[in-house]
Amino acid sequence: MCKFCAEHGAGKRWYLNTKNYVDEMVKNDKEREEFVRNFAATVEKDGAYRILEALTPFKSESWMDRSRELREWYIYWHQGQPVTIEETKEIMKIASPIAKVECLCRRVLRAETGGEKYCLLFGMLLDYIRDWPDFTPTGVEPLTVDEAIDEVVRRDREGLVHTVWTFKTPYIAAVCQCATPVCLALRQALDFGYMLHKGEYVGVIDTAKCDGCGECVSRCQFGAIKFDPVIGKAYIDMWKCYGCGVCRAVCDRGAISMRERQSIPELKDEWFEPIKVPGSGRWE
Amino acid sequence: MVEIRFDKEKCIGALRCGECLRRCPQAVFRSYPENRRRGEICDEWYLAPTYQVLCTGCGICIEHCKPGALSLIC
Repeated sequence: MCKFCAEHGAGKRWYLNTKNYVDEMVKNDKEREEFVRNFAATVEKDGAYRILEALTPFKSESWMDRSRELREWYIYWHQGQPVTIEETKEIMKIASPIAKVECLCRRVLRAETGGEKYCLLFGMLLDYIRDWPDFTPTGVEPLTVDEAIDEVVRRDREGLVHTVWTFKTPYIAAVCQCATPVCLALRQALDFGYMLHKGEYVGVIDTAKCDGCGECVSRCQFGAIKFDPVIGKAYIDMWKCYGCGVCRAVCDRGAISMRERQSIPELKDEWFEPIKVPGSGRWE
Repeated sequence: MVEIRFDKEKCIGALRCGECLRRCPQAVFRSYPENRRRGEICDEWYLAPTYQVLCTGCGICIEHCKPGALSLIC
């Protein structure tokens, strides 16, 4: 159980606790309301400058300190975690109302303006997001619970990672369907070690069942699955696995299963990518 | 380490061009809205090589930059 579950889960996974989705959390907290109100502007402008500023002294000890600060900032304000498809369906039943909007990251990072809606937003965030029309250039499309479940299942088949997002932790108001490198969060996590927490599960391949088709290798958004040509099978590097379950969806043989992170001694406290010097990954 | 020089005066913006954003293998670029106001659509999205530390200096962005706003210092 991660520290969010311990603090905000009420005995369950923190993102399956209905209390973390209620509007009162925004209404009764001025600071959170302000953050939700200005969210679109924060991620695009201030959030971006925050990152830009952080990258400047990247070759020094101050870079490491800055990364730790950023990690803390995101844990407090806007923390994400990958969730499996079963859990995502559960979240669709808890969250209300649900609507889908265009993905900001895809636009910001790859100039994607095709109108495809990837992001699911819930609750009061939907009221505030209308204030920023270029966050939602093709509008906000409300979904029923069944439609939302169909949507996440479809995205799962496409190979996209489901992630939950907090707006001042532990209030959850979004589920994103992400891929590298078009997702700001996956980028931040993989290249710099903050913003996205690892999931509650770790994928494991049953080598006896794997027929070496390699489908899962191309699916993994975290570079955790490799193909071993000697034995002709795929394997998962458990240190790199985020537990999203996207690989499992594509395995015809049912060779991939998800294990509780807590059941694996060395991984039970492994929640983040190490903070490192980006790019070369070494000090110069 | 290589450095990407970006001339904001020449850049025509991400929504009109965006070639560097789409083509960069390392996804080094990001776009930012300029003079954005609550309740209004912003059509000025400028670029910056935010993730420059990941740049390999391959030059693909410079080849495809329509207004010639990018240059590489090796």
